[in-house]
Amino acid sequence: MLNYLLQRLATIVPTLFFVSILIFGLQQLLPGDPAIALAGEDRDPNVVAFLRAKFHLDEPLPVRYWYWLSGVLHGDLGDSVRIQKPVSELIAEKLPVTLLS
Amino acid sequence: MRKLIFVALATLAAVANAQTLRIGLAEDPDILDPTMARTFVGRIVFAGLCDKLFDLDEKLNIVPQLATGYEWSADNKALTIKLRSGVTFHDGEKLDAQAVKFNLERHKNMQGSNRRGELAPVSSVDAVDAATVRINLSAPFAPLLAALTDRAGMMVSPKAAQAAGDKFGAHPVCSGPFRFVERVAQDRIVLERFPNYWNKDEIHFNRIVYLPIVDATVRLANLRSGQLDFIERLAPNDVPGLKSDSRFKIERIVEIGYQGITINTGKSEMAQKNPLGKDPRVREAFELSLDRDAIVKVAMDGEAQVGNQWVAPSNRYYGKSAPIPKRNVERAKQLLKEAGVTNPSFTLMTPTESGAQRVAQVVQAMAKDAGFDVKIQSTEFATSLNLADKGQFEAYVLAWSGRADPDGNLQTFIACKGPLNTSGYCNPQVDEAIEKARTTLDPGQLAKLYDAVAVQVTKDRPIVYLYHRHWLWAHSAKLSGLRTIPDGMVRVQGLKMN
Repeated sequence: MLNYLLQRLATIVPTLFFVSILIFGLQQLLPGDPAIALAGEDRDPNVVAFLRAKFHLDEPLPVRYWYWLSGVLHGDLGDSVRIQKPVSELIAEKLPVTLLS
Repeated sequence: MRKLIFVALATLAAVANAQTLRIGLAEDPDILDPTMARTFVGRIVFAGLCDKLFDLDEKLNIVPQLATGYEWSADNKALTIKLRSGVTFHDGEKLDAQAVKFNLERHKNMQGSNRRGELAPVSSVDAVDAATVRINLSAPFAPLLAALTDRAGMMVSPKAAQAAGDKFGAHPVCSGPFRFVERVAQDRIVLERFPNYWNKDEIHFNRIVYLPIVDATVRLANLRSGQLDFIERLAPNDVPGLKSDSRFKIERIVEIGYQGITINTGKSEMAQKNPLGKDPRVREAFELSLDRDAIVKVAMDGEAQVGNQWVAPSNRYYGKSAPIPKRNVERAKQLLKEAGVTNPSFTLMTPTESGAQRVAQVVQAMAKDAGFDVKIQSTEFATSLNLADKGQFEAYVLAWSGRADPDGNLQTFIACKGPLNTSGYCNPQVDEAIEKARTTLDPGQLAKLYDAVAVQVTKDRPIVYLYHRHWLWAHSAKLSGLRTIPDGMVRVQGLKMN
């Protein structure tokens, strides 16, 4: 039984890794430039450049994935682009409801 | 006894309810930091949270708020502002000239600031004395005052801003009538009455809760059931149903923005490859094929004001010498004949949002009567902006939320070097007039300048302006004191539940 559990746990790691690549890849397929979408109606070039640098949008895909992954491994899921609060905080706000009900 | 307790509790609950104003928003606001914020809906929350140096009234006049008065220098290159005395921020810090200087510099210098463009001509800020600020400009810039009636004029506590850095938006500290309590993403933003507000006699609620509810039908259902006291952006097709219900009232505001069709007249070589971009006669024919009243009726359920300029006909700076042309299909056909193109075809790029799609379809059908073959190209919004910026379009359905000063609706799009000039339009005479308007403070002279610009731009047609939407608000009939100011913000001062 213990063996079985350990085996299952061991397979979780590569599975999560592949799923994370898949999801990260799917996100790249979304149309439009995220910096333009985030910059608001004025599309101020300074703001667009700032957002590009902040989210490493000019760097190659594997590098971006690495930034994200190393953040996640350190418990940093990044900030919500919508309201600029840490994603981990947003999950913490809602997780108790999921667990308790 | 049990019954008595129940009645007492029910009464208490009713009293507590009456002291909370619940506002239904059409979207979840973005970051609550006036320097970084970029959405329309966020500004509605700021109206409760952050006071500004100046405000607007119903007629778009600039009126004092944190400032009590202002004066331009003789060369119009410095604006001196007198500040209201005894104003404090929500954290007890004093609002003085140093604080204003800090805020304007924060808007100008903070990384990723969305205010930098609005304050571009500001070269430096001096705190002359505790209650006097002087803003120095690199060139005269009359629209500065209008910018200070919006986020650029919002003042945050320097102490709190310095402590929080780029996390300030999570716990904003301003000097408005209500202070920040909490925010639950996609659920609610809660503000409570600020007891030391300088204008506290005008505040009649203890709390305001802003609830983002994206679906217009659900938002309305919540108003009808009493879960909300006020909703913004009532759907136009819900107006008739609600009008007959005496428990509610509807307010209608003509927006300061516009909806129009931008034509690529010089942004890229695509402009020269298409008769619409190349020949002004073809653009005139296109405009004459359109019936704006019918567009508004069909696409907007009648809830918009037709227009042909960057400001609505009711605006004091509308160019009266360039009135809205009536539909004239015969003349349109004749113009096309003169231009030597009987069946011109062009692609109309349209964001996937349903309102824009409806407009495009009506335009397509109308233009067909004059011989135009309009191909609608539905494009995801951010992608459409990308393509527009690159000049990869022939015509583009695009709205602008509008600025209080006409310059904010005009210069950005029409001036040769306007930052959002996606048409690629450039007319040196128009440029000169726009520049002159920026340095003109006299309303009569300004109206004349804008009139001349209107005559030229409506002839060249880099943008065919169509209409100005109505902001539709619905609220409990018991709510009084609402002010309908064209920027579409909900002023909480004077609001009362009767």
